Amino acid sequence: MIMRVTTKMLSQSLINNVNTNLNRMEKYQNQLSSGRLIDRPSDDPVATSRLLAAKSDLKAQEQYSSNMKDAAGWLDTVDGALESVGNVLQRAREIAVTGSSGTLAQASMGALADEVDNMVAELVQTANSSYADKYLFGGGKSGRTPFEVAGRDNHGRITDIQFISADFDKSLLAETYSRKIEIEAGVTIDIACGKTVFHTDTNGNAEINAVFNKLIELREKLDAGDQNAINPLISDIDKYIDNVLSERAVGGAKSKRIEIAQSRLSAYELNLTDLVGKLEDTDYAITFTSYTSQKTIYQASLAVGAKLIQPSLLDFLR
Amino acid sequence: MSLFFGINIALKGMMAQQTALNVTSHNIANANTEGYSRQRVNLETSVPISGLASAGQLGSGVDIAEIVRIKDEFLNYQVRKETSRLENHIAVSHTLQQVEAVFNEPLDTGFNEQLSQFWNSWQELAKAPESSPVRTVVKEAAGSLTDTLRQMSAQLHEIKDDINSQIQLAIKEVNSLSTRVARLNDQIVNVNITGQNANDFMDARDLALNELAALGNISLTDCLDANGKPTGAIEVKLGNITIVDAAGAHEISSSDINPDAVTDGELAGLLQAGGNSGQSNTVQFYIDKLNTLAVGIAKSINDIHTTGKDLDGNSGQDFFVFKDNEGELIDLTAVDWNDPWSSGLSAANIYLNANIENDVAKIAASKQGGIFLEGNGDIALAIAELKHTLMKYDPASQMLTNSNAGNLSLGAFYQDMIAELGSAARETGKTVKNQQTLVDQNIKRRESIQGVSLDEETVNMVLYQHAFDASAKVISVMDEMMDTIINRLKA
Repeated sequence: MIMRVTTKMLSQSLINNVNTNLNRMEKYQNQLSSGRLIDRPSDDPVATSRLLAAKSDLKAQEQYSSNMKDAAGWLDTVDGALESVGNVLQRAREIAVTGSSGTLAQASMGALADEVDNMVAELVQTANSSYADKYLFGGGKSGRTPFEVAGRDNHGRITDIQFISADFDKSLLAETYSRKIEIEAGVTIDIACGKTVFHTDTNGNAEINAVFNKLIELREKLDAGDQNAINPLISDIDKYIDNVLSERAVGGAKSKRIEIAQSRLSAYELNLTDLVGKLEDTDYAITFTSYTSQKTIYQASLAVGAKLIQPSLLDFLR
Repeated sequence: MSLFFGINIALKGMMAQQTALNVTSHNIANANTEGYSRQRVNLETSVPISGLASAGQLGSGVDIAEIVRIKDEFLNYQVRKETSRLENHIAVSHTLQQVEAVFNEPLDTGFNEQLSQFWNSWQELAKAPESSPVRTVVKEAAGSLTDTLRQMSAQLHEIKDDINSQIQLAIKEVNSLSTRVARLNDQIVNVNITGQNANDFMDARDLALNELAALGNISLTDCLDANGKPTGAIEVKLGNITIVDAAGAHEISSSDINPDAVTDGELAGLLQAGGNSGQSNTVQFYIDKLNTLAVGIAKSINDIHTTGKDLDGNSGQDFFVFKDNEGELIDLTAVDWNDPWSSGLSAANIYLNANIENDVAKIAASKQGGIFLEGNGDIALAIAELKHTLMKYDPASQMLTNSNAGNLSLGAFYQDMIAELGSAARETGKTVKNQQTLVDQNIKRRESIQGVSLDEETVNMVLYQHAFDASAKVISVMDEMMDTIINRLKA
């Protein structure tokens, strides 16, 4: 059947079609000028929810990445500090060996005692090292220096070291020393490494300032010239050295773990960034092509429209 | 057979053609009038004279039978029905678009981003629990989180209120249209009594009916007189409510309007979008989800925060609090967590605890008191880990709780909601587009039948003009014949 066509139909169709074309053009223009593929969730609900999930995931990964950088920096600093603790103990061992050999004059013994006293002072300084304003071996107390010289004898030699406070109890050591950091979703790592190095006795039990006390004891024995008493100290110091080494091993393992996690994370982060970009950003090549072709269609519909609505039978009568 | 008889035939012809030309003129004049349907003159031969001529009946010329409007009732019904549906979907679609604008996703300023920043601030706090600047960052992130929740909730409520005022406006419009239809009914009945067609009045009534159909689903019945004949008036029902009958218009009020009464049209769409059906095309759906999210966040964080110790060594307070209409704090210990809604907890009244707002030392980041309290960030870490803790959503109580049997995180709950909103808005948007095409097609078909074609009218004009000319010529010929008889025939 031939449809009866009226002038109003023609103009209405024209308006509808031109509008549809303009609408499409507006969409592309919007994507081009904003650079965003999705303006509101209804543009693409599935992509929107993926995008939101990816973005919050990415934010979290950035946080984990920063956490890991902090953790790695902390562990490196701890390792450095423990290394110097090990060196000090190594030297103390040598002194103890020399002191116990029985060939030294009392004056030489006194010189060795002086050196050990300096070592104690040096060790206090090392034990007070900090990273980003936080004391490495200070537990949770970060506002004040954890190790302080609490007593000296008549010759100005250190006789007592105080950890945190005079009434600090060793039972507090375990829980107060944790410093947990999340490195992956649900994976935390305790970076409070080397926390027990100064506070473990030769039997592996908790004893506040065990290492300092041992060195002070060595210094006292050297002062007294008691060679026989120095001898057993050597094996004690050996145990402390072992202790430091095993703590360093623990720290190293943690560093390694973070390093592995970091490399995995950076690959994941890259993928996520890529995904977010793909979901969110306008692909200019494709969109601009679509835009141009849409523009051509729009212009054509306008041109045809202008020709279409003009003529009527009246133009040809008479 | 007198010569004057022939002149009379020609005269009737001229008069008929002139009337036809008038109708053509009326058509052309109204070619662009909204709701106008073209009219046509139905001509018929007038009653012939019998028994005068031996050859048989002699034609006596032309009469105008009637002037009718060209109308396709079925198409009109279709247009009304589809328009009702279209306006229904448009009302829902507009509302969902407004809701989309409230959430403002997936922009970098949306809630999703703020929630991420909030969790990250706790991570930072876990690393530096004693740092006052870091604590302030947590406070700021929490403040902007609650601000956004309250703002989004307020905006959603505004949309809902707006729907109610739109319903009032629509009802006003229905009443004004039904009055117009009733008035036109009267006018049509009066014209019909004289035996004529009230073409233009009927067009005006159809137009009013189309506007009514946009507002709600209407059904029409012809009013009958005592003899069972149509009077020309129609009875109009909006859904199941009679708004116009033979007696006149009946005003409706908002109490008459409910989803059972009106099932289509803008009114139905507004009722749907503003209703409590629990479906994703209602505003209430998003208000509820937002409440679930706000209370879920507050409860799970408070539960952990209150087990911690602040910098002064005191136990943690509730991190988030809720205020009632008078601005007083709601006692969270008295809340039934299977139904926190009855206690007035919602996204509209969630706040950061004012004590924490005023003093960031009150953030309980530490697990323990005592000497090492300030350096411990276990509680901050536990809160940060809520980011990926799977929560359990109970549809019955609409509560999101931190339990072992969970399957979605707080962030995922929000993202799911946005996805649902996107799908709902996209679906209705598509339906509107399709329905618009359907309506356009129906209107086009109606226009094809009822509309004025200028070409056609021009042809008719020429046709009628020629017939008029010819009739005039007949008179002139008759006149000459008369002249011949009277003046030339000289005995």
